[in-house]
Amino acid sequence: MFRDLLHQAFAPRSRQLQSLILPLAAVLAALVVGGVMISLAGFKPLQIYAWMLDAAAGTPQGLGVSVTNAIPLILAGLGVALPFRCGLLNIGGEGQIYIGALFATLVGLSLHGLPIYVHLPLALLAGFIGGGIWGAIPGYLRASRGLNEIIVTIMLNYIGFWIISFLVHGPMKDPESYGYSWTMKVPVSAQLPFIIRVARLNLGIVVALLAAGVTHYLLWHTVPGFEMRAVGAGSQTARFAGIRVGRSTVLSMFIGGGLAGLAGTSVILGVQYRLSDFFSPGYGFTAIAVALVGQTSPLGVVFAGLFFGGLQNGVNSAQRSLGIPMGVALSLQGLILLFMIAGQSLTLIRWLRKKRTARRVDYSQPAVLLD
Amino acid sequence: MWIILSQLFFSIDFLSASVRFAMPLASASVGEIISERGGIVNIGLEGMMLAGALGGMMGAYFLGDPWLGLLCGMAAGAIVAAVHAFVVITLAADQVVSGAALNIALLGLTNFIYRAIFGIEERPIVAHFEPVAIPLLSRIPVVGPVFFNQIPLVYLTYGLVIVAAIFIMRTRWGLEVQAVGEHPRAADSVGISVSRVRYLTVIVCGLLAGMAGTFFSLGQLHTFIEGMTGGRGFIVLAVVIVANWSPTRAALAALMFGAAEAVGLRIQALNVGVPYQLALAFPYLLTLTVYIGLAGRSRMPRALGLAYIKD
Repeated sequence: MFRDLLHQAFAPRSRQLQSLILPLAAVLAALVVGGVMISLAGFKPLQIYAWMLDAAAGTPQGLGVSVTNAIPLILAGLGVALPFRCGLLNIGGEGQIYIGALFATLVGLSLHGLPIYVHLPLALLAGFIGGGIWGAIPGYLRASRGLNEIIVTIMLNYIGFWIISFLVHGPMKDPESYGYSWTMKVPVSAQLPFIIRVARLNLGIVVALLAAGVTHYLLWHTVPGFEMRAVGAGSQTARFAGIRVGRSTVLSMFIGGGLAGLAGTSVILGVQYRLSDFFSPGYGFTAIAVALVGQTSPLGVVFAGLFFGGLQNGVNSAQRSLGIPMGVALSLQGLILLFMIAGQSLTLIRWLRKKRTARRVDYSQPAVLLD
Repeated sequence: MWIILSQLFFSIDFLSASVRFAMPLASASVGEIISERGGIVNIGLEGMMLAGALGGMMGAYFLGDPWLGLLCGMAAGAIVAAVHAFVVITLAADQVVSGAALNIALLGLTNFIYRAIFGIEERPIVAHFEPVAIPLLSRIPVVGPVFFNQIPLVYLTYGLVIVAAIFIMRTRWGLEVQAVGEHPRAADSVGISVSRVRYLTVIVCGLLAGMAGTFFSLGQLHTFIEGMTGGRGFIVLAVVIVANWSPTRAALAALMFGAAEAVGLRIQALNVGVPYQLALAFPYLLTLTVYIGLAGRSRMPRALGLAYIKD
């Protein structure tokens, strides 16, 4: 089973090596460019990187923070990876994260006296549905009216954010928190409990890993998953084969949005316990990097999520303790992404192989077009 | 009630603010239209605008002149655009992902560069553009103060829209750009260099996005703030579709979105019982509504988003 999982995750077979080498090379290249940046700002890059590594993985506490950071990144990364397989770029993770967190908070706050094994799953489910609705809207608009999902998701990011901002400054504001605009604390029965206390690691990591497993199963072992991948490989061909493209589009965006909603939920129920309008430092955008560095395979997303979680932790620590300027983490994310797609480019691969190969249909990387 | 409303929204101040907010959208959308007419999607507009905002601010700070700042801002936008062009034209990589990567990278990079140079002390106020009343024209009732008492960047944008409209529709170069965006193989077969045309259109887009960015740092706030373009690069992407890839229509659409922003600010300033979050969300809501309403009416360049690989 596990071997099968590994095998499938790095499919297609002929690319096994490439799917490992490419992300590593992209990360390395980005670290080199980032190092030049850091040294231009008057710091020693190797010393900074060593500090970051130690902060992110040197102690159980540090590792705990890294893995905790990774939870929403894995979930939101899956939320980008799944629609990507269906040929859609979900830039709407940020809005889906906020709306998912809102639904989970509402269920967390409005139900009382339930045991944790009822209350917590209900809150998680609510978070999934909230994000799912926010993701299904652009999916539906694309399927029914041909609207470009990128633009719709970006607008929904802003609208979703301002809805939450309105609620936590107004109707949902905790009356006893004068200075801060956030909701009341969700009760313990809706919180994700710690599973490793020393590292302050909560149950969210199990949720994230389960979600990765389910996403994998859905994509490669079910009919709807097969249909999504077929649509991603070419919507015309899929349509001629009798697949309902619109249904796959809406479904993949609903599930993708739901996974992003779970990402927001995991932060509220596992770390912050209160909904605010500043809880996401841009998880939805980092998720794009996570999904693509993970080659849009669920197992790859797990590793990429852990990497970016550690990177964020290390950069934060270096900012606090060594005073490097802010913005390093985002710069590195963007650079890694650029090097990833540059490395995947047909021209470069051709040039490396020094021979001309015909363009083949590539099922792992559906083209995303504006239409 | 009606009188109050009309005073709110039909005052000279309000209309003038609408034009002020609209023009950065207009100049960036002209750039995006040129790039997309040539077949290259540039989602990285937001990042290029941020680069322009920071480049403009630094140019004005170190050189002491807003016009030199403008040039630096445009150059900064063009540098980012050149990276996009290399990745998507020479390497034929995915255009949307490249743009998204540039947005993320530039959000971090501009912040990093600003902090590395200016630290965390008070933000320096730099040499900036002041409104200039155009003789005669600014004396026309209503139209004068609204359109002809603005910062010079606004006048530049008026000219830009007209020049771009003529360029695309009436010049040989404009037709070459269209040919490359509609049918690159055919353009190639009559001797037009697809990659050269596309490089130029993407870099022009970067120059104009950089200029749009300087509106924020040299026209409105006179300094740089992280993420100060606030998602307007994304609104521009919607403007381009709504305008059906026409520069003049894009200017009109931009005016509508500028007005939406001005409405938001008015509501916020007047404290009329509408939550300020609704006011701030208004431009995005309007964008979405108009986009949904006009869906299917526009026709995009046929080869948009597709890499052209010569066999």
